[in-house]
Amino acid sequence: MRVILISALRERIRRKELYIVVAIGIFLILLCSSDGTSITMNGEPVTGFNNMFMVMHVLVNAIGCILAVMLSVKTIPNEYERKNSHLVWVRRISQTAYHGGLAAANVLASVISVGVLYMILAIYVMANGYTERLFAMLPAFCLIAVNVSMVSLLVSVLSIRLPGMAVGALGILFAGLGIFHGLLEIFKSMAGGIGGKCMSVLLRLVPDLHGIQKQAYNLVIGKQVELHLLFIGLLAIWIFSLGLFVFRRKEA
Amino acid sequence: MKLWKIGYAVMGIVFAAGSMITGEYGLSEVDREIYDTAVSLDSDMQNIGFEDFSVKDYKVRFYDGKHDYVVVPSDEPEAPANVVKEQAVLDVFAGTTIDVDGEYQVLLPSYGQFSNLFDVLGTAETVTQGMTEGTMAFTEDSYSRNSQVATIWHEAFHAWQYTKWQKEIDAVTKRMNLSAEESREDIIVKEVDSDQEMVTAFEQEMKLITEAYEETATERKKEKISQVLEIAEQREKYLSDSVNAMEYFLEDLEGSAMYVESMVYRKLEGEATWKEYYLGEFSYENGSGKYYHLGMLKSLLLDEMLPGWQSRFSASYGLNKLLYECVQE
Repeated sequence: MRVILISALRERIRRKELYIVVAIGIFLILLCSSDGTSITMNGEPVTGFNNMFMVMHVLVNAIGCILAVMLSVKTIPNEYERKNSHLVWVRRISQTAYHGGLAAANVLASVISVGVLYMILAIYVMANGYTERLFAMLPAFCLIAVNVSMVSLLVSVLSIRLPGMAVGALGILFAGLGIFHGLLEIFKSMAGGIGGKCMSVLLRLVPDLHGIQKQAYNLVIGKQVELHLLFIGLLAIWIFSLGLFVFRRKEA
Repeated sequence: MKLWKIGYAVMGIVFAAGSMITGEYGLSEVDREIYDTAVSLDSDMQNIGFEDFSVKDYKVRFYDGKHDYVVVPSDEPEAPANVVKEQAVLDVFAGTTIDVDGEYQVLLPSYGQFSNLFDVLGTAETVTQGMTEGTMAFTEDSYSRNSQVATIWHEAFHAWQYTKWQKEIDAVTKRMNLSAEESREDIIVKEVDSDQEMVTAFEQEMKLITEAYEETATERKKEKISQVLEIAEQREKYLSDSVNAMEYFLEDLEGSAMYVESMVYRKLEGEATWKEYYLGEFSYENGSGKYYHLGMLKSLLLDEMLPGWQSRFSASYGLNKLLYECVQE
């Protein structure tokens, strides 16, 4: 399984989209952190370190989740397309181990990518003179990594059985609902009716990625952290990982 | 069974148990504290002078997005209130007074729901929610726990108004002549906010009432009040009966509730923050919000000019009539 993971990871590193999306992410973060940029919410300019850091933190989480979808959506289908799977089967490696290795490579590649973005954030924190917060950024990054792993693992598992387009769409939907969980909760409550009920069902199925991101932010700025959302995230990862045992490919 | 399989199963159990243990069930501690703070102000608020008005007379429903947690005040003076979980009566994000089986109750989103609203997109903690027909609007820039306490009092005051003056309020509502096609907000925007003459008159009324409140000399105050009443009278003649009824409802019933709310906030946050929040610079905006402020300012002015006005105020004897008494004396 380790060999599968390493070789899949090498391929991720070779792929161009990883660098493109990370570069776009870095560009956006740098844009936010530049003095000339004025971001407004409800017509009010968002100023000050804490507010700017919050915006950038949200951005890193969102980019990380989308990146996870992009990096994970084709890994397993590509393996089957190239008939690499046969090379594995002849070595009597189980489907679970094979898919598990590929999924782990996806998760790792996604976490490393978001790690690069988080490092930019750390530089921003240092540049603003808040060096003491850097220590808290390490566990905070682990929380963001939970989000990214969740998205990557779900997409990897779905890609075992579903076609690429469907997996991509479901992955983006999952990430979107999770990133905007808080906003959609409010929308659901304001909307009421059938729309509100449908939204309610969807939101129950998708973990609150925004909430987990918020806990990471709280950790950095020294606010109280709610562990509940983290446990929900970890439980979701565990449930998604069951798919590696359940889903199988006929070609094998 | 291989060791990793046992480890894998244990991990699942730990995550599931962790989720259950750390989850919040029932009314949150924060909401409970908010309710207790509201109740702790009861004797202070009774001193303001609205006859038999007590927050303890009304059930408070905290909507958490799924259910209502209903705080039922205890009949015993010192006993804690009970909390009952019920199906949401109004599955929307609103702070309002609601008739539940013939009993007026306070309904508001749990504080966690508000936090969600402010944390949306995780950005600056500012929000201005538009006014919604029939509901109280949360227009404060930063909604603290004390703001939530004040909101409970605002809505409890409506429950008191409805319980006391049901017939009079029904008569005002009937005059509004609302239809399914056009809401109160739509009509105000169309009939008042789109009419420059009415906008200027309202701004002038607001300017004069603020000056009257800030003025220290009684005679000057009276002069300003006379001018305010003159403008109010002209506006009343100019507008249709249904719009007059809407303005009366918003200025007198909502305005007095905002006065109660602001008194609670003043008690909790102190004079400076209260002034900043409730007496900040006025800027004209379409919709109902401006009437709340006008009514609140009139109530504050009456505190200075006509002590004890609260015991005579009613849905049929409004703020302008009381102000008229001030200038007649």
